[in-house]
Amino acid sequence: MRRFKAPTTSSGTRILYAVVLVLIGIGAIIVGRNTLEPVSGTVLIALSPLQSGFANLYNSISNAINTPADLASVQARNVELEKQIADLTTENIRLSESESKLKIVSALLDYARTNPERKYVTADVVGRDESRFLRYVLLNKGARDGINRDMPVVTDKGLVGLVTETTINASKVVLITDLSSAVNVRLQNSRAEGIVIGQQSGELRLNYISVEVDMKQGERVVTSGLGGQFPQGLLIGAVASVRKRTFDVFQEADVKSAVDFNRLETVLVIINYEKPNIQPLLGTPVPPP
Amino acid sequence: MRSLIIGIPLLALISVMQSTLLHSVRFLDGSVDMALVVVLAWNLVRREADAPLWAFFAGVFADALSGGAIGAATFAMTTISLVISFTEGRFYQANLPVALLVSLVGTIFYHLLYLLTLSIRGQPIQWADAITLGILPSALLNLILIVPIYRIALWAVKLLKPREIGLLEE
Repeated sequence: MRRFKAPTTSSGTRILYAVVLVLIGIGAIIVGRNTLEPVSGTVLIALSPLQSGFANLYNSISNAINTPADLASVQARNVELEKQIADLTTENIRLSESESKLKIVSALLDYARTNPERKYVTADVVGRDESRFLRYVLLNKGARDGINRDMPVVTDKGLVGLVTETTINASKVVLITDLSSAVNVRLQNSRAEGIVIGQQSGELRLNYISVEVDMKQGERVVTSGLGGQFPQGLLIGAVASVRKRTFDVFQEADVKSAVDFNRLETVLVIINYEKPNIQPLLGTPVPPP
Repeated sequence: MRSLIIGIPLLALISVMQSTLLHSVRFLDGSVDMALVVVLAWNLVRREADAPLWAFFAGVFADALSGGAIGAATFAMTTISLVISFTEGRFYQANLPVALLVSLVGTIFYHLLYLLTLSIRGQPIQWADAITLGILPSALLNLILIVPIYRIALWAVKLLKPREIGLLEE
């Protein structure tokens, strides 16, 4: 008996396919995100509903595991009841999730009330950057809700980041912990100005503060508004540790962020902040004295 | 090419899972790369032209869900697929140690290529931290993940492969 093998693609064809696809990848890198935004935006729009579903699932599980400490007694009672009525478990998780969500929204609402001049859009975090080297989050609201590029994103705790890309129903936000992020800041007590830069590890580092400034641990760091990227006075965090060497011009410090970026669920996008257009002024020659 | 009917939705689902659920499975600053491991395993066992397309779509989804330079993940994924395309023979298809090696080298190579592209496109990178806290822990996690995924890929490729036909000779 003779055996006939089913035809398979030759390795040459496969390599040819791979080479063409690599070239497409290189082409995309060269062309850049701005030109290909319609393509990536379409993919993102298609993935958004799926992502919202998974984000809700993740938040439910996460909240069920990490119930806030002030609910400890309620939780203990729930555990007792759960032993008796197993059917209530699902309902309990759902209620717990609603309560956590209500707390977050209520805190955000309080924050919004303290800054009535600003207009906010509330959005849920539905995803994080695929790459661990980049610190971006995806929001479930986009251009349809009035969110545009360069809008600052905050929570009741402080500054989160900046909108970098929007589709109809989703937005990408670069967190202030990303390596590409640099925020002009001011120390609340000493009034010294510096720049907070994100680190690969997800931490924040404060640079360009003169060694003559008496920077203390616990001192609050807020946005200075310089450069116009962010409004003034948004809380970034507090100085955690200071590194100062007398022979240096500047000292640096680690900043403990006020926002827990690992547990970011709901945020506020400031939609009426107009970034001042300082670009034309930058080229203006200074008249001689 | 019919594997793409399953492959595209599967890779979309994995990419979404990666940015929501799997993001929290962490070791130091590294996390599992489910899409990458699936692409590595599929390219290793599937000696057909659709294997690079799996890499391409995994890259497209990763780029769409990322804030980094567009095309960076697509380029890195397809390059990995191209490199695996040069390996030939059934030896690779039934050899778990080779799969482990490909997972380890593939993860490191993929991330270095990805970071290099980001760096060229102007994203600042702290290389020492990225390698020690990000790439190496991820490579270790992927080493664990490749074992079941490689087995599933072997099983799936058998399902898709047309059967050999025997003919009686007169």
